[in-house]
Amino acid sequence: MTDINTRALDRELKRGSAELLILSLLDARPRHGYELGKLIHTRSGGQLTFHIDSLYPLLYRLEERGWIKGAWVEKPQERRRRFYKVTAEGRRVLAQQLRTWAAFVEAVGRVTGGDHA
Amino acid sequence: MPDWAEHVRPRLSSLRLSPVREAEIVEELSQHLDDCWRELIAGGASPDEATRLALADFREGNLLARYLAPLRQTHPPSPITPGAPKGHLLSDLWQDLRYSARTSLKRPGFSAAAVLTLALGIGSATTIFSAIHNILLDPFPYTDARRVVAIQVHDNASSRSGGRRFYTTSEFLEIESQSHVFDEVIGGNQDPVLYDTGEGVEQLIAGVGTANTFRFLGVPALLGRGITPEDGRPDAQPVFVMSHKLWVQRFGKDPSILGRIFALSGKPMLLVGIMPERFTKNAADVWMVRAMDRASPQANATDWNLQAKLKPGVTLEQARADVEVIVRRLARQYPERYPENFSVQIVSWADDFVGSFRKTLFTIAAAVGLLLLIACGNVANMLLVRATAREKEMAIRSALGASRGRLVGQLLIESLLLAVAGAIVGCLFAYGGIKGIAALIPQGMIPGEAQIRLNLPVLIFSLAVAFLTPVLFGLVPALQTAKKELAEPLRDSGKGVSGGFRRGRLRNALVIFEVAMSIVLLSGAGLLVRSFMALQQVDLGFRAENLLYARVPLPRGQYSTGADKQRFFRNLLQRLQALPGVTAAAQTTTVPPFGGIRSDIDIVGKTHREKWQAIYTLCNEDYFPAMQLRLLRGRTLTEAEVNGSRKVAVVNQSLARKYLGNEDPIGRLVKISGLQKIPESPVKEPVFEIVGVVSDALNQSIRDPTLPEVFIPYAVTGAFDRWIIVRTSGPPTAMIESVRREIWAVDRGIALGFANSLEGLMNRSVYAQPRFGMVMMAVFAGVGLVLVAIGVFSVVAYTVSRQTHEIGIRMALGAGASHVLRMVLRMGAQLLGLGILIGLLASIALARVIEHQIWGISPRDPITFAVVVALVLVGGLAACYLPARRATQVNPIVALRAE
Repeated sequence: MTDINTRALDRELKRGSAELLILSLLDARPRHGYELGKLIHTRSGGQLTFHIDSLYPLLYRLEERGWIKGAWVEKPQERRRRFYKVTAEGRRVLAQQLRTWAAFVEAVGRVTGGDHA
Repeated sequence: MPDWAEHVRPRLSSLRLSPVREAEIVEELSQHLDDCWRELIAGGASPDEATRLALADFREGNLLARYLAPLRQTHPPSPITPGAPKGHLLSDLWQDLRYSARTSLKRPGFSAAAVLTLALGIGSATTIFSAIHNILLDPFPYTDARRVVAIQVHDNASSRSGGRRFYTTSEFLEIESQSHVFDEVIGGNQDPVLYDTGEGVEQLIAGVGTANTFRFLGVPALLGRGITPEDGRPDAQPVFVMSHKLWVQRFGKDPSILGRIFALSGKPMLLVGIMPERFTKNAADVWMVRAMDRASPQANATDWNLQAKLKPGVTLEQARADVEVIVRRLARQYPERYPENFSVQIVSWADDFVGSFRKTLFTIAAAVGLLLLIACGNVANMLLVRATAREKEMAIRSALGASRGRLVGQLLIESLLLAVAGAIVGCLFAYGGIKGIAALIPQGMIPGEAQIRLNLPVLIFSLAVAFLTPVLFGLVPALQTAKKELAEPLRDSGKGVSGGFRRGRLRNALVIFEVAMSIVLLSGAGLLVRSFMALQQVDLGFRAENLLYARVPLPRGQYSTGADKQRFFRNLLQRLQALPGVTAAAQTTTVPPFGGIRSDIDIVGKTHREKWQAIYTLCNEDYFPAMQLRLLRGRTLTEAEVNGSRKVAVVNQSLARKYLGNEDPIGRLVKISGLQKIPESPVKEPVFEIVGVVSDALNQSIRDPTLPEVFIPYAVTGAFDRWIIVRTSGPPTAMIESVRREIWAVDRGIALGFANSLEGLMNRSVYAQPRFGMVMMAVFAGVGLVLVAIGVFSVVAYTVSRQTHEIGIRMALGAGASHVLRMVLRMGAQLLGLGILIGLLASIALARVIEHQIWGISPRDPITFAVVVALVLVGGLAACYLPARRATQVNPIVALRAE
């Protein structure tokens, strides 16, 4: 698998599939921005990297749409951090996107699988 | 660790983020970079390298800004609260306006109270000062009316202001010819003339005057022409001019009457003009020329009211100096016409007309001035209270990046908004007030020509005050806020007493000042009320109810002798007595309590050094029952004595007591010297035998003690105007028509003049002016009290709200509700007490101002002051009670938890 070009990922961001990543990661539990970037990087085996200058605009966009909600959380002996969690609306969108994604993957699988079959 | 904010902030600068949002993003991204940096360090990178690598996550071309740009938060709705300067003056202004409107609406109580207070101030001030302008400064529609003056010879022995304003023909001509300060002089008077309506004769008021009067006044006729100097030539055709009022009421605006000949007092006269509505000189129905003739038998009567137009640039004082020389010479020539010690006064036409009512107006104006001060004080205080309450808001906004100028501007705009609203409502009040005062001003107190309407310069002045106050008192706290270490209020967190008294001193001073002003106002009003009550409780010596009086102007040339008069009145009085509803009808030369004919008297056999003076009244035998005077000694006049014009007299108690002491007056002879000097029909040997003594009735005025008085048969001389007095069993004015018919039944050529009930006359001439002053003062003092109550309430309520925490602690430590109530009331009472004290001192100091307005009570009347103090105390404590009750309801737990 070749490296996914970061420019290509940005286009992806615009199309909306990056949103799916964020929403599904946050669906598990609230996380802060740095953790999100790192998780995506490690879980994709280094294939997917969010830069600081695209990750946060994305978070803010999702927040503006009301899909996620950020809140400052203070912990003793630490600087406060902004944690994001999925809203009810975000959850609905996530379910919808997962269905679409599954359908897409299945369709792609059928098409490409058909060729190989 | 590097300062990441330094690297992040410039990347955001191109976006128009709100300062709050920008700070958040900077913090969040710095956190991110920090995490990244720590990880790199942990992985063995040097700090510099770690920094470089962390920052490398920002790619070329400031993608951060590009990705953020489409977001809504980069186009924030105008950040109203922080008010960060954007350099757009108009949009800032618009923002501030909208914000101010919203904050004002959020505090409807505060805004309504402030607007109402300002409006009351503006409304009252504009009303009164407009009225004063219209009445005293510019009442007349005549050419150069402001230069027109009157000459008054003031008797320095008299406590009353004003003086003689009428002059004999020779006095008039000498002043006219010898003075150097006048452009032109006119003489005039009122004269009743008789007009035959076809049904009977009616009395009209003629304004008679010198032929140059209309040229002097300079008002063109509505129809036809005015009177010209040519009309005054001896050979000229007699002409007259009609008032608009008479033309409308009697002739239905018929223009064809112009050029017709009318018989006025039996003399054919040509109607040459009709004057416009506002031309009402001398309150006359018609105007005509009266020749000024030194040879006329009337020439010695002080019959000419002199009015003169000052040469341009001549002051009243210069005119006085010039005229005084002439008048002093006249006084040497005619010593009997001048008081021993007199001064000459030159007064403007308006002052001459308005006389003592001017002082009433000025007193009311002073009251309104105080009211305006109270209103301004109130608004100032409310703004100060609000500013203190909002210190925290200002601090936050400043912390969020609002410039100080912007904060000050913001507060100013809020104040201006209040001012504009107050001005609008105030104009409405003024409009209503002008209508009200025009209806309330007693008739005859002000020139008929005066039109009371809103005066523009006055309105502008009031509006200026209305704008200045909120702006000034909005500005003071605004500037203070701007100067102050703004974080301080944040630390203070707005609890406890410390914050509450920061500007407490100014606030308290304002409340004390307001209370003091209201004491002054109320005591003024109270004195007028008490004086009015005293006036109404004056014992006249007779019952004024059910008395009809009327003047019976007998045509000149007819009925001139005593016998003629007796013929007419004996017949008329018999007819009047026979009318149903009439219990007594009498003839008299005076109408008590309004003064009478004065004369020096002597009592035969008594010697005295000083002059003995008395009033003498020519009356018939029914005068005593009609006036209900009680007989104290002897008897009253008999019908036979009156009919025979016998030299007998009844005297009043004052005369008997003053000149005869304990001696029996019956049978003594009294000599009335004045009767010898009557020009047209002198009485020879005017010595009358006293046959009885009656109870006193007031005979100078309602405010003065009774003078000695002599009643003698009315036909001993044919001189003087004659009046009838009718005692009725029902409402007197209902009898006017019957009386008129009886007069016409005796002689169709005689009119009834000035008929009214005595109560009506007293209302108009005695009570109207003090009642007007009293009502106006009471209204303004009442408004003042309400304003002061609002002022006390706002300050106490505010202080209580700031002390919630302290009250909570006290209550937690066991203070009961009554203790807290007392604590708050004590605070209010301290302010009130100080204000009352200052107010009382000021009232006592100012008593002189109102002294001439009151009668029958002391200007330092303790009852009035006691009532006023009680009123203010009750009103003020009531205003404290609401916030005090709220204080007792403080829940200690809640108050303490708020820490």
